Amino acid sequence: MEHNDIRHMLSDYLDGSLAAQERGELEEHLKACPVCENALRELRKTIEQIKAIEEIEPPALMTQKIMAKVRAEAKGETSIFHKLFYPLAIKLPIQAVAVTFLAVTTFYVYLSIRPAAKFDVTPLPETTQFAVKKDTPPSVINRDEQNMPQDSRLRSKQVTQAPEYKSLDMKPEYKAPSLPALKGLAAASAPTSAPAKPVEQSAPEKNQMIPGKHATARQSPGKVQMQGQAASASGTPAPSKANSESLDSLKKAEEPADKTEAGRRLARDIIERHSNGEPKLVVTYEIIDLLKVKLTEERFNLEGDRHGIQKEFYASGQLKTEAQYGDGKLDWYREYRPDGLKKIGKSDYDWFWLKK
Amino acid sequence: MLHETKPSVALSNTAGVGTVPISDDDATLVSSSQNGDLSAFELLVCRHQKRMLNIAFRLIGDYDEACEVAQDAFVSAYKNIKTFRGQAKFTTWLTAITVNLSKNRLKQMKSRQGRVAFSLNDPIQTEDGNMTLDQPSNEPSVLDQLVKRDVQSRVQECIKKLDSTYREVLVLRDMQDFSYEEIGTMLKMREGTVKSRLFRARAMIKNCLKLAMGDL
Repeated sequence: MEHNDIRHMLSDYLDGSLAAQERGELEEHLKACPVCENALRELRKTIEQIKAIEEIEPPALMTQKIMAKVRAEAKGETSIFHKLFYPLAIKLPIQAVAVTFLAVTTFYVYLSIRPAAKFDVTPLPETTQFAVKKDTPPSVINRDEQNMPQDSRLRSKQVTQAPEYKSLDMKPEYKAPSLPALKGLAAASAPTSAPAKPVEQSAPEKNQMIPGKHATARQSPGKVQMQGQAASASGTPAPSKANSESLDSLKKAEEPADKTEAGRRLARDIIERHSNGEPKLVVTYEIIDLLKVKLTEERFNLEGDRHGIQKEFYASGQLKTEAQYGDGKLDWYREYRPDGLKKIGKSDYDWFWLKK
Repeated sequence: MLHETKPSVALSNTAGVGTVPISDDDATLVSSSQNGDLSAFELLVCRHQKRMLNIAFRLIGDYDEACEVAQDAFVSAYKNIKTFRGQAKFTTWLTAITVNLSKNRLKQMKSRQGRVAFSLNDPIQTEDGNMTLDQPSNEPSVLDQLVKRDVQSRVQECIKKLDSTYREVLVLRDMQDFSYEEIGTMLKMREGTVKSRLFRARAMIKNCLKLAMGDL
């Protein structure tokens, strides 16, 4: 047996855990090997010194301290709260239910307060319910009115809502009532005044007043209106097939109008008269918010002498309007915000007003 | 529901350490403790607190920390005493708790070491290690005591220098006289591993002492 093997066995030998045969061999080796015997002696001495280390005494009140903690622990175990919540199998589901309840409650609270915030952040769709087919003849609205008496036709002019809107940029693309209706109205409502200026004649005149530069980037509602009137004034009756298609498209267009999120909807269009008896069409739009709550009205005279009324309706609910004279001079410029009125402009011209 | 009953074994002096006879069977006290008998558990505390404190102290090397570990060990033992099935001796089970808590505390202390500010009350670091603070003593022979203390402090220092895996085997075997089997149960290792580690631990202590004292 090698010295190294012997020394590895010395520890077990001193502990008495060697087998009898190994112990015999080791003892035989030790008798003949003073080096290994010395190693055994040193190891025995080491263990003696380790064992000789005195034990430390616990502090006097250690038992009391331990038992105080133990009693507190025992008391805690028997408390109602501990009984209810201690077992993990019960505690975890309760906590899970509580967290779920809180999450659901928070979600519904958030939903209940959401519309106010939504008004500011929801972008308006690119193509909205305001869009109307381009080929809809302006006379479609009054298709049935042509068969009505003049008075009833007059009442029917108080259109409460029509989908004649355009989308986002909100440039008014109002389709004027049919020429016969307007013409008849003018004749019926102002019989005693000065003879009404024929619309067929006035429309081209108005068109001539519109500068070309406004017809490009900033196409004014007035211009659109005038063009519509001019088209109607030509007296060309819309084909009946086209009328029925337009009626269908109108119905389709009305449907999404109910789903309006925010924007402008036609409130009414009425005929007023100039001092000289000339009829003028005054259109009023309602500015509505996400909840279809009317914020304000826009009223504008489609035959006025202001042109290039530019409106931009932003997703935030902000409305920018500006008006220009025919020569391009800026008359006023305003910004309306959902949270109130804010004006940025040159004058206080009271054409539009907005009050929440 | 826990209920406190009269101690099944007479408690002579709960504050007096070592007054409860060790020969009493732990099993009876454990059984009573499992039924909520706090007095029985108190007897177990009295019986084993010194041993647990010493184990913790030898493993940690700090008296105050060792006291806390020993207290925690008993509280932990009480909390889990219903899970104790008696497959091993109560002492073995309790020692395993103490060793685990000591190891955890040692890790915490090591991680704290870099953050603790220097204190004048800290042990003074010397070439041989920390100079331990003087403990009050009633020993009559000052010279003998000094020599003895010197040897013991050197042995203690050598033990402290051991890696914890070797130190715990050495402490449990050579200082607390647990068997290989018990140590294997406590530390969850095979008996052969215990023997191997013990051999290495003893060899390292021997070399350390030879370096410290010149001769054994």
